[in-house]
This record gives sequence, structure tokens and C-alpha cells, in this order.
Amino acid sequence: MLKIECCGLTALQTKQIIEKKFPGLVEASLDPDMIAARKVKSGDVDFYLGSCMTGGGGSLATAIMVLGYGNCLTVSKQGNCPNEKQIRHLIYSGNHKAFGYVKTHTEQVVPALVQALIDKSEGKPE
Amino acid sequence: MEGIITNFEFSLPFRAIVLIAICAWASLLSHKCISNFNDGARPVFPELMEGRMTRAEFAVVVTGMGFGWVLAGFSQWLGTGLIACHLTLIATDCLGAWSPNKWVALIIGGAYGALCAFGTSFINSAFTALPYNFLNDLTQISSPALPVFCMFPAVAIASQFGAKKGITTGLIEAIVYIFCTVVGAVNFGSISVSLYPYTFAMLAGMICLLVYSINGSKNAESVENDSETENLFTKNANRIKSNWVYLCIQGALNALGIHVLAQAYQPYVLSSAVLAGNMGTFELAMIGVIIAFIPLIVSTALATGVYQAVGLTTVMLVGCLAPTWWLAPVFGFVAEFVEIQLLGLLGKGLSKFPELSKCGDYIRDAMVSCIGLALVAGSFLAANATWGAVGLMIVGGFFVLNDVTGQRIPKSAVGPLAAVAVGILYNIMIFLGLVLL
Repeated sequence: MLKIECCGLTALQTKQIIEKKFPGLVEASLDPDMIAARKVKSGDVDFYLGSCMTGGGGSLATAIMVLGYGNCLTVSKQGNCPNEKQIRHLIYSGNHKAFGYVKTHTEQVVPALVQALIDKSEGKPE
Repeated sequence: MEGIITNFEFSLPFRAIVLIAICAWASLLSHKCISNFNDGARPVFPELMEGRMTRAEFAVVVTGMGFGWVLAGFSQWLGTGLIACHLTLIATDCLGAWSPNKWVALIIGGAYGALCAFGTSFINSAFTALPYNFLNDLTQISSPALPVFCMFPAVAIASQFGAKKGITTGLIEAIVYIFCTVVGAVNFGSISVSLYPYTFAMLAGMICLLVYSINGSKNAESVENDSETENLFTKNANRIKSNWVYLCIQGALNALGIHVLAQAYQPYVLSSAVLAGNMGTFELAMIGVIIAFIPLIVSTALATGVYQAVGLTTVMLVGCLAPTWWLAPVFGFVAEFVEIQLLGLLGKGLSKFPELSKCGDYIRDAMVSCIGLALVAGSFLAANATWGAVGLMIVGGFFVLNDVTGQRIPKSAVGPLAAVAVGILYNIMIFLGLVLL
């Protein structure tokens, strides 16, 4: 079972989406970003999801500080929300631990993002 | 109280000079990786500073993060008549990022400032030349802004402490609002203090927020920083401190900018306050904004060593509070200096008590949600004023189509832009003789 930390402006909404769409597949938690990022670093938790106004600032700042820029990915930014296929490609073409997106894109991004993370961890092809 | 600001206390040339100075300087600071405005682009700056990205790669990323915001800034101008930071400083982030050297950064930054100052005034005069001047209708965009924004404490409380407490706060705010409208003004001896209802409703809400937060923080757990994080914090706080002269000049310019309304921050709240002649509302809202943004700005600044172009936004507050225009930059300079000195301390406090930084998230989200909703409603009102049901249909269409096509236009910008599109289409129809005035 994947463990995912939900942070940022739409943390609660993210958690609710994950629990509704992937019951029994993902354990979502709501720790404050500093604790969440450290849990990812220590390996207690697999991934960090964060949302903010820009997709890369508030959502990922703490994650970048703790995990390093190379482990973090801005999935969506203002004026550019990728579709399901593009998100899947982003996940499969990197090895990121933390993901940021614009808060108003939460509903579009989270299901595709988590589905891709599950499939990738199970070794399914892109 | 709603409306677009067209009559300014200070002349256009004066405001233009201030804006040019702000933009030129901000562009220079972005070029030198000292500060930037887009919180989302800030984490990319160390990639350039530490040589992991070339300037071109870096500039592409910064521009990609910024484009939507400039559009949002433009829509803010359409709705308020004020040139907001999003229109100026996001663009200067990108211009500074592309500039090959500091002189180019200064010049193109300044040129962009001039473009904003004179371009917007040109568009304003172009409006009056239209067969149907829909500028008056656009004033409707900002009319729900302040009433809905006042509810942000209730929304923040509801999402953080539960719906029941949120609704209680909402009711308290409503009662205070009604009380103020009924009473009107209080007399203290010979001084009459008018009770501007929005100010006091918001104040009541913020007091509730404070009370709930203090109660909630009693059992907050504290976390010890590891030495790696501590070292990073100290290194980056020192980098920001070493740039204090540059940053304080920016702070002084920003404070002057907002005092003379050359540049605005939180334009929808500011314009409502200016038009109502009651700056207290804006100043109070700014206190909320500062509290809400401290965790975001401190954490991104200390993670990167790059500061925010408007600091912790206290310069905007002191700029407004300054009694005369020439005192505003002095206040701004001092406020920015104090901020920079406190940065390391704030960072340590926030990382030690992570729940506190989460409070900031809730308040920020509440403010954004309130303004967002107000703009949706305002855009429909504006379109309805221009072209009735057809206008409503067009704005509605913009919203849903933008959503299904991946939000190419930021959600906060789509309404005002759609309302303008309605106005333009309406004028075309008049021109073609299809609509008779």
C-alpha cells in the first residue's frame, strides 16, 4: 500500500479525492508540510503532494528544502494544467518524490497523478 | 463603493516615474537572484545560482510559471483600474531572468513600467471612444469583492476548526455588520468615529480566528530541526541579510508605490477601500494578509536565499499608513529592514511549530477562495449590465470551456476577461448595426 502525504492549500480535498478513488490502495495523511517532507525523506512515507496558487512555491518549498530540488516536480502551473496522459508521462519519465500543483487543478491532477504512482510502483508499463 | 478608479490624487507622470523605478529595480533584483515576486518560481533560482541551469533554461522556467499571473494581473487592472503587483512584478521577474546583464535588466524593467503606466491610461481613453463605453459596467466586477472578502475569517475557521465554529463566526460577523450600519457612528466627546461596517465585521472575524487559533495551539507539538536544515536556514538567512541595501530600496519604492497608487497590492480590496474613502478596511485586511503569507514567504525565502520582492508585504501596510507621500518610502525602508532581521527567527519558529505554518495556509486559502468567488459573481454582474442574458451566456461559456480545456486562463482572470470580451463583442454588434442603442 502506498503512503502519501497531502499538504498545501487543498490538502483536505486531496485526501478526500484519494480516499474516494483509491480505497484500500493508498494511505493518505495530513501532516504539516515540515513533518510530511521529513517522513518522505526517512522513507516512512512514499510521496508528498502539495498544492498552492502557483504549483511550485508554497506547495513545494518545504519539500525542496528537505528533499532537494531534483526530487520535486511541478505538475501543473497557472495557465497550464496537463491532461491525464501528460501527467502519466511526467511520472514515468522521472523519479520524483514530491509533486506540486495549482489548487484549482486539484480535481484534475490528483486522480491521474495517484493512479500513475500506483501503477508505476506495481511495475505496470506507461 | 464599487467602481473603477480613474481619478487619482497624484498625476500620471508622477505615478509613471514611481512605477518605472519599481519595475527597473525589481527586474535588477530578479536578475541578480536577490528577490523575486512569484513564490512559485523562487525555488528555481538556486538552480541558476549554483550552476545547475543555464540562464536561458532558467528564464524559460520562470516565464512559464509567470505567464498566467501576468494575465491575472491584467484582469485585476480591468476590474479595479489599479496596476497590481501581479501585472508588474511577475513580469519583471521574467524580464530580469532573461536579461544578460544588469544594465539590460534595469532598462527593460523600466521600459515595462512605462508601458504599464502609459499603456493602461491609453486603454482607458480608448474605452471612451467606443460607441458603448462599458467601463462603467466593468465596475461591477469588484462590487462583490469586499463583502465576500470580509467572510475570509469564517471560511478559514471552518476549514481549520470545523463547520460549526465557522458558521458561528459568520453569524457574529453578520451581526456586527448590521450593528454598524444601524449605529453608523460613535461619538467620543467631540470626535465622531464612523463605523465602516466591513471593517468591523472583518475585525470581529479576525478576533474569532485569533481566539480559536490560540485555543487550538495549546496542544501543538514542537519539532526539533536537524542540523542540516539549521545550516541551510542560517546560510540563506545570511545571504538575504547581506543584500539588505538592495531589498530595503525595493521596500521603500513599493511603499511609495502603494501610497500614491502607482502600484497596488490586493487590488480588489484596495480599490473598494479607496472608493469608500475608508483605508481602515484595507489596512485591517493587510494585517490578515501578512499573517497568512508569512509562512509561505519565510519558508520559500529560507529554502532558497532569495527574498520576496514585496517582502512579507508589511511595506504595503506601512506605505498606506504613512501620513505623507515622502514619508512612505522611509517607512517602507525601515519595515523591510526589520523584516530581514527577523527572518531567521521566524523561520526557526515556523519549522519548530509546523501547525502554525498550516494556519497560514488555511487563511491564505480562505482569502483566495473568497476573492475568487466574488470575481465569478462580479463578472456575471458586469456582463449582465452590458448585454443582459447574452452577456451571462458568454461569461458562463468562458468559465466552463476554460475548465474543460485545462484552465489555459487562470481561474481568477477568466471572469474579468470574459466580461471585457462581452463588452467588445457588444460594440462590434453595434458597429455592424445588429444591436441598436
